Amino acid sequence: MVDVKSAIARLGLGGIPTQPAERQIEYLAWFRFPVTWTYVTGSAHEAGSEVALKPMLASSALTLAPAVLAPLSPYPPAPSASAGEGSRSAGSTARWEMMVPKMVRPPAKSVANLNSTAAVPALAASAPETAHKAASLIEPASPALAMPAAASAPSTFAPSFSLHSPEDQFVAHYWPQIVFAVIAIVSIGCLTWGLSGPSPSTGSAASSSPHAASWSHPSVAASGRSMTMYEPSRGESDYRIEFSWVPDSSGVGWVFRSRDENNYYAARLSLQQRGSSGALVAEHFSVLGGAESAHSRRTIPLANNAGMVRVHMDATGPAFRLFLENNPADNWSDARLTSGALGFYDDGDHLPKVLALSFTFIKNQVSRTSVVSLP
Amino acid sequence: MNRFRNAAASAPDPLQAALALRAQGRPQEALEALSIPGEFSADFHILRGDLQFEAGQIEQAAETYLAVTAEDPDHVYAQGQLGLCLSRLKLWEAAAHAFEVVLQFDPHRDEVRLQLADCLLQLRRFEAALTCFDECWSEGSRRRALFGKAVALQLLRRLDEAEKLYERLLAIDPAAEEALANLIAMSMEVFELARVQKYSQRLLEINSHSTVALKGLALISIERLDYAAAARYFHRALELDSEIMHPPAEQNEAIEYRISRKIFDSLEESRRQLKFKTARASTGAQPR
Repeated sequence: MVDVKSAIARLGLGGIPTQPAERQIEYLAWFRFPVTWTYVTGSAHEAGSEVALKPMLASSALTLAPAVLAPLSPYPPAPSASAGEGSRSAGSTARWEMMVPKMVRPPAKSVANLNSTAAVPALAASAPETAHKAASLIEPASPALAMPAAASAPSTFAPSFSLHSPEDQFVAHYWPQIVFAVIAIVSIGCLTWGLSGPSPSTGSAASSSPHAASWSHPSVAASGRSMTMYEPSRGESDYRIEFSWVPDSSGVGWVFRSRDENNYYAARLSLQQRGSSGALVAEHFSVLGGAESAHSRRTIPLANNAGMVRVHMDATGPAFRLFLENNPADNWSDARLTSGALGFYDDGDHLPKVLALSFTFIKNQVSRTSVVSLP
Repeated sequence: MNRFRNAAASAPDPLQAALALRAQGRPQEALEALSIPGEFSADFHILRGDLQFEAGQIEQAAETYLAVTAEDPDHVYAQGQLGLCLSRLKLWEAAAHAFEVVLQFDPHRDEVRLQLADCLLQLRRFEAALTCFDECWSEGSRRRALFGKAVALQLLRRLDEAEKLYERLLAIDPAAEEALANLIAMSMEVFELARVQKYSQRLLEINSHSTVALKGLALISIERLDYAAAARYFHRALELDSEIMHPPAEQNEAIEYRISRKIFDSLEESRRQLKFKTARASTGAQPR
């Protein structure tokens, strides 16, 4: 045996005990093989702050797939999206899917017991007793908005919006093709419907009603704000709105939990250009009794101006969470409006330019997703 | 009573000015706009903390987030950011606690769970870290959780299980260099030279500048008394990392393989011979 393999430090045993024989050997080089795990937090370090707002890469490589298309059925969706597509009414702009959430999230049990006292006194504070504190993720811009959220224990059912089954991975992988196929089918369907006129059966089927039946335009508010509401969402409370959008200065604004044109929540994204680079401004506000609150704004760096951004916002109880490219962008809470319709708004009279729009509604632990297009 | 929130209504609010400056790409000026005495809203402190964090002022950012969490321990965003700052400062215990608070509110945030698991590994609570990685559920965290589990198992000395997980990860992500590096470390620990060689070669195929792979192949050659090959790998490793010629400053635990003067001289001699042969071949090839 060659004498270079003098000692191997054992993990967990600290330094190498110096043996008398070793003292006589002169070492000139050291090969160390530590166990490392930068891979675990690698992306977070690359991004600077994973928990915080990450600089946005406005690439078209979206991480979330559009909703799986499936025929109107109480059964789980067919594994193949294209199979479901083939049996769909060509004139439909709203496709519904009933699906039991496929992924069971871990129960809201406490994380690993650290058995230790935090070094930071503030952190040693007692654990929260109620979930309403959790809702205060970001304080509303106005004190008027700082209402405690309704207590809803996080250990109870939390709607899962995520799609992670193998078929969903398929969808996630091929989403651009699916989106284009959907757009093409919808376009052909609309064209066909427009040329032939509505058939009696189409007119009586709510789920395959044309655009006009799905969207409404409440009277323009005194402020000049126009709204386009997705009527099937009235009465819904927990949902996700999801769409792709190419950032522009005119922005995209949407409303949620809307009871009428005087009572709703709203959020908006817009591009703020500065030189060759840009940033997205995310804002949210409420309108209650016709009175508009202060706008709470956040700026999200946008690394690349050219490209589509995938946006989704979850409304779950009093909690609202906005994601850009699947990264948390903002979250806030407001418990005053518990249900109401989804839609878009504009302070001019223009509909925003969004693609791959879908709504997912959660009720009684069952979600249904509607892929829709703006009128 | 929330001091921050009450103060927001009465104090002049430089928040908007700072936001505007930040949006204009002037983060330092934005930070200066927020560096004024007084009592301000939580959002004011959060923005200041974010700007400090982005500017690399991690300690200051930690203090700022700490001010928010001291006022409102349930401020999840501030706790998460505080955790990040503390982990950057290698204050693992406190960082873990901050991440734990976040997860008590939102147990589905795998990014935070991975950060917590990282802290637990640093704190040598490998079982707890393993549990933490096991609780990750999202597709986005799958690879990193798989890797983390493998690391935790390796550190728990459950080497066979760890190796299987590393191989699973490598099937998903063949470019995961760190998995191969840890497999080399694992093979070194049990001194299975065939595996050290196998993983070192795989790693070198991925990254021809991997010092871990070069060191692995060098020691394999040394063990097989192939000093010519060992000298090649050794000097390539030395070119990339001159630190191998110095006693390790870090006292962190690692498998260590030491090169004695006797072996070093053998490597040098092999190198000289190789140079001589190369030079002679080159001279011989020259036209007269």
